[in-house]
Amino acid sequence: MRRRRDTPRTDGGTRREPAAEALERRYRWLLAWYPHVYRAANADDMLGVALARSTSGQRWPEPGEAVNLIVSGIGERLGGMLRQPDQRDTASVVAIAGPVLLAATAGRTIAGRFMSTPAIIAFVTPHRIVVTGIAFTAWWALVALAGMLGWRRAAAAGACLGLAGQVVMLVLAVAGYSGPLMVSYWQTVVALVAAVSALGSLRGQGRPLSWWAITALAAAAAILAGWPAVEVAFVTYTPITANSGTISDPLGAIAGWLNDGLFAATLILMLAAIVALRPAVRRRAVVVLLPAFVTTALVCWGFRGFLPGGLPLGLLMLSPLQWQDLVLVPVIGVVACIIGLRLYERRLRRRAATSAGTSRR
Amino acid sequence: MSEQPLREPAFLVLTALAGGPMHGYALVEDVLRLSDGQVRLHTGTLYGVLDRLREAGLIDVDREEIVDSRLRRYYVLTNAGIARLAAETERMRRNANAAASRLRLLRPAEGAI
Repeated sequence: MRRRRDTPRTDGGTRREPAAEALERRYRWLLAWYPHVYRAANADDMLGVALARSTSGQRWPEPGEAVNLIVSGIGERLGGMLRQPDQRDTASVVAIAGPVLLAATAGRTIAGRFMSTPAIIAFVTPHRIVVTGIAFTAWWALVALAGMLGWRRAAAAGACLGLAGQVVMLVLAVAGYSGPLMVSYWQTVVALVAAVSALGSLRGQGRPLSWWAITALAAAAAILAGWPAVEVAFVTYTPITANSGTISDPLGAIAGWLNDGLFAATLILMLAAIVALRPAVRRRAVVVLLPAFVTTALVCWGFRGFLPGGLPLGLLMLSPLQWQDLVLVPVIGVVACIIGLRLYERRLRRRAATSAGTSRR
Repeated sequence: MSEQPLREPAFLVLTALAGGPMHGYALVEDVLRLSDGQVRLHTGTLYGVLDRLREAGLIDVDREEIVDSRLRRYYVLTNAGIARLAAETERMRRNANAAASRLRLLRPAEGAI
């Protein structure tokens, strides 16, 4: 495939590659956009048609033909992915997990309200953020419910509308009218993943998650949503007294433990939900969920002083380097997980082929 | 695919194959001829259409030949494809007749203006 355009000659000059060869090489490069299996079945036939369409002496594919092959190849790759039941089922799971996560995070902005005093509410969560928080919590919870019940069209339509809403919130955040930009940014990313997954799962059948997995996921979401209420409860009800010029905070010691405990409980419940999936779907779900978890850990512990959610510290500005991390870490994570998944599944296929050969002998 | 109207490239490919088995490039040329030079199928589009028609059982592979050390595949219309093409042609004829009769009513009025 990778031949030089100008081949060195023995007399020191260069021999120009014949036009037909150059054109064929370039068409083969364009056909590489198609999946391997498709190429194996059709590349020769397609190449014959593409070359027959060309004029004598033509060295480069026509731009329209080149774009058509690239777009068709990508379409075939995406279509091929969605035709596989494992990919479809994974898309169904992500189409539920995404809205559950979004409902939980939207719920975080309102959870603190019920455990706090009016003065603190006004400071922590402005009225408009509470209203949008309630709206988004309800909306994403309904989308998740539709997905859980296997109402895929309703879930896909809801996810697309929810994505539109998150984009509006992102624009408002950029303009300074809404909550922290970083929160809106990643909520939009999650909404995009959820909407694409919901559309990709349209041809799936049945209920994608067991009731056990749904219960675990819902419990994890409830803890995630209720977490700020616990944090605010400490701020509100901890008796703080001045003593010889120092401030004492008797409940502060267990606040950290409680936070860590809730985080661990969320993690265990999410792991339980993942374990309940069948192996091929579980592997694919990890490709999406592991980078999401690493990014969350980076935000919680890596960005010093940052607290997720609608709390005042969430308004902290991120440095350009932190923004860069926020984009690069999930992208690199997903790419690394996809490569890992492909290598692992290739090994599984080889092992299955070897064992099948052994049993035939 | 069975209920929705065929798109123009798919209809023209079926029409071309109604003339007998053809390979990919012959299909491109025949579709161009049938459409009076209006529809020139790109390679990616052609194979997308062929895949969909094969999945729907409207066409099948007739035979394969090796030409210039490359595989050349010939496609043929199946019985389901013949029936679908006939139904689609009838549907389009009805629509065309309806449009023609409305146009006939319109022309005298245009003449009066």
